[in-house]
Amino acid sequence: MQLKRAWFWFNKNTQKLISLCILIVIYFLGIGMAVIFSKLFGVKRDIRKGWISRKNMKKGLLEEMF
Amino acid sequence: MIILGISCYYHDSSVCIVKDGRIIAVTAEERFTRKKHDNGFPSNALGFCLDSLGVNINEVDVVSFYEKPILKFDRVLDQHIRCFPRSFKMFARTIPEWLKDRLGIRKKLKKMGYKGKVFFVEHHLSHAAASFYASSFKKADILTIDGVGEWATTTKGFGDGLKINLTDQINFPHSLGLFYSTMTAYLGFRVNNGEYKVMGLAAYGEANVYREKISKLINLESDGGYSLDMKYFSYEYKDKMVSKKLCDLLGGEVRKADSKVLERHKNIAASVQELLEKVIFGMLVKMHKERSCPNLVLSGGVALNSVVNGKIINNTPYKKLFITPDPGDGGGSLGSALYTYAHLEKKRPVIKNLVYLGPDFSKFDIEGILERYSLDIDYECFSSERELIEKTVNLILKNKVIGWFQGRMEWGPRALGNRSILAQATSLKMKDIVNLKVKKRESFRPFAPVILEEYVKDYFEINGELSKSTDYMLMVYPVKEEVKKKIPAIVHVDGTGRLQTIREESNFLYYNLVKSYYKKTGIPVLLNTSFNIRGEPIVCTPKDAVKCFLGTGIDYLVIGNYLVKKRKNV
Repeated sequence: MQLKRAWFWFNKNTQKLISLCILIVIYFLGIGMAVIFSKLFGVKRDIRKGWISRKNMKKGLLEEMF
Repeated sequence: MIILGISCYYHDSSVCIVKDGRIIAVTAEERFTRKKHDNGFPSNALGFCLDSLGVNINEVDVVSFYEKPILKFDRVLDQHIRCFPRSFKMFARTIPEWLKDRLGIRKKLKKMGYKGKVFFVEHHLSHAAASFYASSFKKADILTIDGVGEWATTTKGFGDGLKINLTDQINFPHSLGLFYSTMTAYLGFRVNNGEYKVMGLAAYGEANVYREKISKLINLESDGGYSLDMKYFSYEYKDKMVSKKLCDLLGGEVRKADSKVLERHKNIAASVQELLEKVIFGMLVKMHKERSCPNLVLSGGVALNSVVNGKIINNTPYKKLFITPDPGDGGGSLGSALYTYAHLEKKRPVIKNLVYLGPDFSKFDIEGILERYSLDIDYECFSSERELIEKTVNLILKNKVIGWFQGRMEWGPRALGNRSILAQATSLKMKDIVNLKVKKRESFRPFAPVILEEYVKDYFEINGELSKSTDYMLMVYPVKEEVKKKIPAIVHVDGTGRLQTIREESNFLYYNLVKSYYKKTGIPVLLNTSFNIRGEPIVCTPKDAVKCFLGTGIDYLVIGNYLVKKRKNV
């Protein structure tokens, strides 16, 4: 009986499940891309608390978006 | 050289146009779209700024954006990766926005026909530049504090002539702005909108009740900086800023927006405000030791906390303080434009008018609108300003509430006398009348006074030199004991007032209105609140003003040279 109910629910919500799967795949792809992006362009996160000196920080030119 | 400054995509989008170092116009997008704190691309504000100078976008030499989008995107990605998988929902919501709009500012401008250079000024550098270049200081220490820019949430440094050098920063997620916003959310107010309500509510509470618990949220570092205990905050991975642990710590859930404000909420607000002050004063005392400069420039959204601002001179070694009329993101467009000018031309911008830089409307525009609404209103034109002032003062003396619409609109979040609602401050009842008739806002929120500058020290306890920022309603000072009874409508529960000082050279008509009232009453103070109703931006056009006038209990509208009243059947 329960199996039948589960099958019925599955049939009724197929579209939703597929959407969810796609979303999860996109999410993981996104995170993957984010990691690559961060490695390529990212600034290493400074985990120090309190004031951090800006003296040695990489500062982009005015024309640059980073 | 024409420079266009733009800030957008976070909150309070705005545009500024600077020609040869002079500010021609600055305005926020919300004033045109009527959507409070509008964060979209500011097309309307941009159109207005270009029209103010009579140029098209191709005649602009440089467009300057108020932050570095890729650096900010880098922080957002880092945030999502670190908080994986809790950040799933936030990731799904924010990333498409980033890819669609936020990284495409150059493309957007290109689509509009702009072919010139686009510069990107760091977020906190924009804040710093807005306040430092607008100040009259040749040298000053600079502190910027807001929610978050790219990575920085707080920066310190100094300005010297042309040069701005931000020497240190505190990085996300440790943020005083986000701490205050989280507590705003906890107290049931809207983030990026209700922070000043927390500030007003704080005066009703006892800070000692929650002092110990609230102090657990921020650790004071030995170098004068601070860090947040992130287990109490969830803004790194959720849209909701308050974590369950914060609710447990404070012994209660987040207040629902329409529910009653209880004693505990007031006490929490008081502790939050107290802690904010403690951290800022601590930073400033340490900062002052580095250069012993007597001048301080403050910027970033947290500089809108006028209670803190009013206490700085008494609690730190600084002697002079300057804050620009809009130190928050709305001022980012101005800051980036001024910085770009100084950087390219190697000259300091020339600042004359820093307030009345918004849209202006001709007599014909006003007449046209009045004509259109002639079934609902009666109006009378005054040929001389003196007569108009005389008539208005007489109405104020009869306890009438006046909508005051004149000249160019103010820039920034405060109504500074060109889009204001004015009334007598002499009766406590007036606070309720204005609230009931027009504003319909929380009863705990105070109303602000406008005062003739020459009498300010007779009415308020101000030590040392008066800051120019009192012109922008950015400082709260205690009202002198002996005059409290004279102006009860503007005295907050803790005996303070968030004053605006006015001088003849800054706004002739407004000054003379208050002066004329003073001549008749001996009181140089009026109640001044923004010309809007709850939840809407300040009125911008004559049409907005007439609509607001008709939709509220404002008794008379003074618009240009016209005195407008409602017809009896309305």
